[in-house]
This record gives sequence, structure tokens and C-alpha cells, in this order.
Amino acid sequence: MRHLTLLVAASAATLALAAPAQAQALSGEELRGQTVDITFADGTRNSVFFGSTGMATVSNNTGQSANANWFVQGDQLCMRAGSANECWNYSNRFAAGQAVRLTSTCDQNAVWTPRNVNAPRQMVAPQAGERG
Amino acid sequence: MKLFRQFLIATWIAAFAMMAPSPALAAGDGVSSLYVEEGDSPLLYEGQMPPGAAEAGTPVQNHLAQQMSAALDRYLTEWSNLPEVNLPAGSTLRPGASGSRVEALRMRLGLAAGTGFDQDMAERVRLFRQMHGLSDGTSIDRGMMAALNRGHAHYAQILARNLAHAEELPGFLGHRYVMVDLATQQLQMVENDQVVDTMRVVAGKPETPTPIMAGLLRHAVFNPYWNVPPDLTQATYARRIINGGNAYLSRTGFQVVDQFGPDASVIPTGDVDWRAAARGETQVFLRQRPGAGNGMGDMKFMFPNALGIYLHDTPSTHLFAENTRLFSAGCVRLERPEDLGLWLYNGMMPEVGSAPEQIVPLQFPVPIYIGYFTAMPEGDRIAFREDVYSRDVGLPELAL
Repeated sequence: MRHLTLLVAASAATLALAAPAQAQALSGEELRGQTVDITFADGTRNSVFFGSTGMATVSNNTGQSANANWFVQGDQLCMRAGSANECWNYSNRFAAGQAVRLTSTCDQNAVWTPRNVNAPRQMVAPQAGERG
Repeated sequence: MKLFRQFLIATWIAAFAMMAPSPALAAGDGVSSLYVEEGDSPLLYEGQMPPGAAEAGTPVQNHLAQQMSAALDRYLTEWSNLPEVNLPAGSTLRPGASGSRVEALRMRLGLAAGTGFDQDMAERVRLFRQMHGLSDGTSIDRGMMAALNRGHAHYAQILARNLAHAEELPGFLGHRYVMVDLATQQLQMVENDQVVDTMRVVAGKPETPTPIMAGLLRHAVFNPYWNVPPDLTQATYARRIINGGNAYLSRTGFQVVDQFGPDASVIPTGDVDWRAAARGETQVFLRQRPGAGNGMGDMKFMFPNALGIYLHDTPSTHLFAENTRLFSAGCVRLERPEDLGLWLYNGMMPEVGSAPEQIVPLQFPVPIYIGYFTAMPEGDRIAFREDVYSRDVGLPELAL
């Protein structure tokens, strides 16, 4: 439970720390509707479902869960629950099954492993125009 | 009861499958009327809530469909088992009246035999009016006589069709979402199933109807270009440019580009064979510069889709005063775009300069549903709306 709470409080802060290595801004699109397994330095494991419209559900292996809002701000992936906010460095697109070590604004270290990710998508469909 | 409803829904789906959608707006599998971009579908239907949320208590049926379903059940319970005799026309009847017409109406409304318009009959008339989209009251006027003579199947069919439409939408519509109803040309901003704001919109003309869609609002564009779909350029603007020449182009701010989007380069309009463009022999990318008169106004709200349907500001604000607002080529024009922007950006509109086409992402995508609801429960009432796109016409008769 401690880590669950900590994660919710921290997640809005930690995802922000990754410096973008690409010119293209990351939006977290690859995580929408996907689940990421997160293992902390002390071995605690959580999973976070990143809802497609901004609601994150954090759960642990005892069945406890908590909700937060998640969003991308600059080069951080953030989670907010009430007044608690934690962001994680987010500099590269996540890849399915690929573990990435991240640090949070609450000085937490954790390994993030997305179970799956969404394919890249074009932000606009420019050639269709707008029917007006 | 349930079998009856399933039949109604199946009948409607079969009827819709026979309708030929406009080729430019044709979508989906030809059976469903709902268009969803391929990439948005999993995000809307499975991606909003964690796996297993349904087992954990999240309803499979969205709250709109639940309301529709309850309304249909209530409607059938009240009105489906009454003698549907055709009633003769006559003057308006009010409480206190008596005679043979009152006797026939009592039977039609399922009341005890009698010849007097008593309190029981007044209450029954009040309920009938509430549940058939009529104004409140206890008089039996021409409108109520027409509703009685249409019979319950007419209304049940419309309700079932609307229920089927609501059931096509995700089981969970979203914590926050935008609902546009084409039948009333209204937009609602909804939070936790509560409407927090409503505004008028202008929707597509009957010949260019706005499609029924679901998508995800992802960003707004401030000081936008209007990128004219090539088929509209062919059908409308090429001829205007032929007739109006450079004066027209200068007045309207149109320019020709080699493509839409950030990499567009302007092409001299004199290089375009406008007659060939009008004949559809060459495709032209026409866009209108930002500023006064731009068809998109000061901002457009994007839920990227291949149909070219978006929400946007408009310079033609006088059209919002009309009762029926079907004037666009398919897009949805907003009465108060700034208020939608404030809501989408959580109370703080982005600060943008004067540069054209400034794209500002939303913090997270917001679902948008563009529906067509000709019946809608409103508390104890059921509102039956005008079928402005004639989509309720030509449905097969129900075997009751």
C-alpha cells in the first residue's frame, strides 16, 4: 500500500524527467489504453493502466488499486491524484516488453515495462481538409 | 418484451443497411451508422477503463442507452396493449367534456368505460402527452389525435432505433466528453454524466449531412487555415473562381497549395486550370488564409478523421438564431467556441500569438460523440424531435 500511494503521488512528477532525444514531441500516445508493469528499487511491483482519456489506475499484486490522472507535460509523464503530483522522465517512445529505468521528481527509481504499446499515429489527416 | 425489442432493433439495422450513404461520407461496415476512425476504436471502446472494469461494476451499457432502454420499457408497458381504433377528427376536448368521442377516447387510452372526461382521463391524457413529445396539458387537441392515430408502434420504433444508436456507443462514454446531437443541433459538455454546458451548433445541410461519429478530440488549431476538401473545391469553389477571378480570390483569402499541412507551399493561382478542376480532371488543394471571413473562424477543434469533420468557429454567427440550423457542408460550427475551448483546456485557454495555424494539444484526449437522437428521455417525458435528416422515414412496419 505504501508503494501504491507513493506511486500515485509520485507518478505525476517522475515521468517528466526524461530529456527528449527526438525533435518530435512525445504525447504518451503509445501508452493510451495500455498497461505498464513498474518495479521499484526495493522490489515492489505495481501495474499502471494508462486510460486513453487521461485516467490512470494503479494496482498492486494484492488487488489494491487507486486512480489518478495522467498526462504528458514537456518531457515528463506525470500523474496526479488530488494534490499529489509526480512526474517521470520521458524522453523516448516506450516499446512493448522493453524495460526502461526511470527516475521521478520524488527521487524514486523504477523499471517500467509496457505490456504492449499503440502504433504511432499521425496527429492530423491533412489531405482530407475540413468540410466547413 | 425483450424479444420484441430485439426485433425492433434488428428491423432497424436491416432498414439502415438498405440506405445508401453519401459516398464521400460512407463509413464502416455498411450496417452500422456510426463512423469511428480505426485507431480511435480501441481507445474509445476498450481503452478508457482498465481490463476487467466491467466485472468490477462498470456498466456494459452506457448511461444514455440505459435511459433509452428504461424509456422504451416504460413506453411499451404503458401504451402497447391498448385497442388501437382509429379515432375521428373533431374539436379539442377538455376535462368536463362528454359524449361518444370521449367514450371512444377512454377506450383508446385504456380507461374504464364511460362517457365523461373526468380526472382519471385528464391524468391519462397528461401522461400520454408527456410520453409522446407533446406539450404539457390535459386537452386532446389535433396533435394528440394525430399521435393516437399513429399508434404505439410508430413511437416504439423510433425509441428502439434511438436505443440501438445509443448502444453503438462505448459502454463507458468518458469521465468528460462532448456530445453533439444533430437532431437538435445542440452540443453538450458532460462531466461524470452531468451536462455542464450546452450550446447551439450548425450542422450539415440535408444534402451534406453531418455523419454520426465517435472520436477523440486531441488538439485545437488557433488562427487556422481552412483547408477546403478537394471535392468541395471541384463542386463549388472552382466555378466561383472562374466567375470571380483574382478579385474573388483576393476578397476571400483563398490560395492554392501543393498539399495541406505544415509542409504546404503556395502555388500561383494562375497556374491552375480551374475549368479542369471544376470538371474533376485535376485535384486542387485550396486553403483560406486566417483572418476575418475565414470559414473556420478563430479556432478549430480536431478529432482527426478521414471524413474531414471537425468542430470550429464560424464568421456566420447569425445562423445560430435559426430554430433549425442545418447549413454546413458537414462540419459542426460552434455558437461559443471560446467556452468549449475553456472547458477542454481546463479553464485556461492557451495563449497564442497571431501566427497562423497554431496547434495546441489537449492535456488528454476528450471523447466526442456526434449522434442523431430523434427521441430522448427527459425526466418523465420523452421528447420526440423532428427527423431533420429523414432517417426515421421508410422503416418497415412492425409485426406486433
